[in-house]
Amino acid sequence: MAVVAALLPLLFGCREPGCGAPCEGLGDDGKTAPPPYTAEEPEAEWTAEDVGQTITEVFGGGFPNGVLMRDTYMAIMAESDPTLCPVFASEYTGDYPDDITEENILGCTATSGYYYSGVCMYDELETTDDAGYTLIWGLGGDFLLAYPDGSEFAAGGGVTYTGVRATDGTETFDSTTRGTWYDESLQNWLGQGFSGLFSTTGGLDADGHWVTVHGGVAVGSADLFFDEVTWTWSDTCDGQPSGVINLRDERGYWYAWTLPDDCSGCGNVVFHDSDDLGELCLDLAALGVDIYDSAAVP
Amino acid sequence: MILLLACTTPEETPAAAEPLVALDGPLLLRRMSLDLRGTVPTIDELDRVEADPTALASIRDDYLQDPRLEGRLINLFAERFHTRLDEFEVQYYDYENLDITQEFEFEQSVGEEPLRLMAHVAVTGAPWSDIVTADYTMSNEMLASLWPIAYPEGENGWTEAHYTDGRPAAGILATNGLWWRYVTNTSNQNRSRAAAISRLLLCQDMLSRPVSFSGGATSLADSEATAEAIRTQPACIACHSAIEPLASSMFGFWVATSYNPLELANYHAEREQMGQDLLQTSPGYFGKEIEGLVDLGGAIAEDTRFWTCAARSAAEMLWRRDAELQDFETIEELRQSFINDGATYLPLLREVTNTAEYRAGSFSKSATDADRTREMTYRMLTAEQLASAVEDLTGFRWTYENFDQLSNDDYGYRVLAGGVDGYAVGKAQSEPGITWALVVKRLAQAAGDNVVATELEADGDRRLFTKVTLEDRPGDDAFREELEALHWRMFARRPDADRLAADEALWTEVEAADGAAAAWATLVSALLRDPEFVGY
Repeated sequence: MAVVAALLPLLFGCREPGCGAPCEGLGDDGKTAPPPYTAEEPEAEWTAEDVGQTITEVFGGGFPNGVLMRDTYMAIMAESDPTLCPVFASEYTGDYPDDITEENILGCTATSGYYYSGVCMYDELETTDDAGYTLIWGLGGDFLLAYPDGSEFAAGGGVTYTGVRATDGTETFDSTTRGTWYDESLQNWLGQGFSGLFSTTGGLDADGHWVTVHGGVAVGSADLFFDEVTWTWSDTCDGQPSGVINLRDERGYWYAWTLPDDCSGCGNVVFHDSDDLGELCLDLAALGVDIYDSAAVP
Repeated sequence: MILLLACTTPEETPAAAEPLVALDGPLLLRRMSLDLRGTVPTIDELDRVEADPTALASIRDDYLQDPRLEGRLINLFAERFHTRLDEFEVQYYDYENLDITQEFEFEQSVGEEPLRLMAHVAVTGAPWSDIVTADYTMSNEMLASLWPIAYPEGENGWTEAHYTDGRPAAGILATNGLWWRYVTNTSNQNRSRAAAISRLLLCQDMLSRPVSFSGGATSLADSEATAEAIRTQPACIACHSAIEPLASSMFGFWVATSYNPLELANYHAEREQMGQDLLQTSPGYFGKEIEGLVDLGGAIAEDTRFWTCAARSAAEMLWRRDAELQDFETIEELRQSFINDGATYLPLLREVTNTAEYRAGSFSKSATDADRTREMTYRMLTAEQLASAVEDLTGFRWTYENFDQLSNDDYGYRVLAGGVDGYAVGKAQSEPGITWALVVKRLAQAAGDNVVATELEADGDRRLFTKVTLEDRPGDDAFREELEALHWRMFARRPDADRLAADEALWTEVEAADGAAAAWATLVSALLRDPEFVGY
């Protein structure tokens, strides 16, 4: 029976193109009916300039960063009624006042008027030793908080951060930001709503400083994928990035803007992996500074 | 050799006598009605076919235009797609606007989204390729209140609607309902979803492929070694060369955290290119480069296997059995006619009902043991067919706290009644069992009580009893005519004198103890449990 089951797909697949002469001509009319569908090749709806304009507009309100997410969370948690709302599980009472535990899944409203529901954990470790200064923190959860006016701060996902400042003055940092977040009380990228899964890594040494973004970032209705996009500030580069910034149109097709490692801020935009739309030049140095500053070791 | 023979010379096989004997007209009409409408035929339809067997075709064609067909297709597709679960990673209580009374509606709505899209494509006569290329989904008000869906003003109930989160036009491939059922995780990385696409839409079950792991087997506990093996070991590559690119096209449905309604409800277009990182593979479709989900539906619709699979699936759904090697020619003929008829689904269903396998009611002397093992000459009503047929006859629908008791296993008896729960039970029961008999018994009792109470005791609208009152007794014309009509309606068979006498004896015994209403309720209950009613 198992052999029969294994052979079935092979037999029913006999009519595929390339099956070979023995499989041809089995239909009633002596022909094999072809699939009645042909996919159309898409055409670009945007020019390279359109792509540039969208990238500029999307990040006009700043680049998503985990620090703002954490700070927003902590500010709201500061309005809670300790141990009462959110309630802490008894074994945690007093130890983790920045957490929302499973006991709060159905939600509670504090005397301040702030509302807390879901599950979230925040942890932070700060050390200074012979090797230097290290800051590690993480925030993760699935929660819906609300301001007294009813506007919501909600998330599913998390942020992790590790920053190290060595005694020789060099710095490295590594952060991941993931999930879906929004804060209806804000007017920036978090107010528009953020979705993404990306890492921010960077550092500072004798040659200068740099930051690399890799992963998907969506702000509002714009969807982008940063493929190893690196900003470098050094003697030879003033902060124009290299890498590939991909932008998606509303149909689901991608425009890839490839920035070579020449610090020019210019590169060609290619649609759908095949259609070269020409060169696009943008000054993204300020965006790089914004990203670096938000992730640098404090 | 077997493959070559099967591919090259089917017409050279000596013709054998037909092993299958078709059902007679009324019984075949009953089968068609239950398959296409979920109810037994009306007396008038049965009379027409009895008088003129050629009327069967036109009545069948009417059934294909019946509004109830859409519901039947949803149930039939549910048996294959397994999306109608009792529990998803996100549950009703994760939404602040839902309460416990809406649990069943929530679970049904999520699971039925892709099924309803397919059924909608079928009954509206749209090209079947729309199930993987349509730019819309099917939504009701509840889903539209929970998910990023623009529900059209002025509509109510299930209707075409559009997601607003940027997901591409890909029919069921772009529905939450499908991917809430086929979830993935950090180690699986959408491979299970790719396998589901291959199995459900191409009838290519990766798990059925013969794989040899001899020599150099890798421990699945070693994630790095496993990832390397998938790219380098021939035994792994055999499937993963197809699986990985398909999986890579599904990262718009990749979530950062499970159980979160924000993450699961929304499509994450910005994550579409993550497959390159996590799987080290670009999106692709069996060797063809694609950009991702935006191209996937079209690639599937261009694939001959998609059309063959549609024909095969339709046959399997209505034959109530899996296709086997012997069915190759028939299914190929179905595929050809499917495409020649405009690639729309209803003509395909019509053709399936014309096959000998569908019409089989018994075996001829020429039938082999293999024929007798393979073919289904008697089919058991599914849980959904039981529910709809009994409701149509008696007005009784078995519910509890808003749960349809034959469509869930939270509080109900779907699996016990032979149904598919989409998770632990993937195939409908084909033979009676003890728990099945107990469920049918309770259903029949409740339905019998209900129809007597509403039609005979309360003198309400008649749907089952058309002749009698509680005053009629055996020997009265109305009594005998009612019994005959019940048999004809419920079994599509004229009762013989012995059967009528047995029914009268049962009725008389109960009436003596508990009165006429109890006697009729008992008799209806017995008829609803009769093998001639619960099978078809």
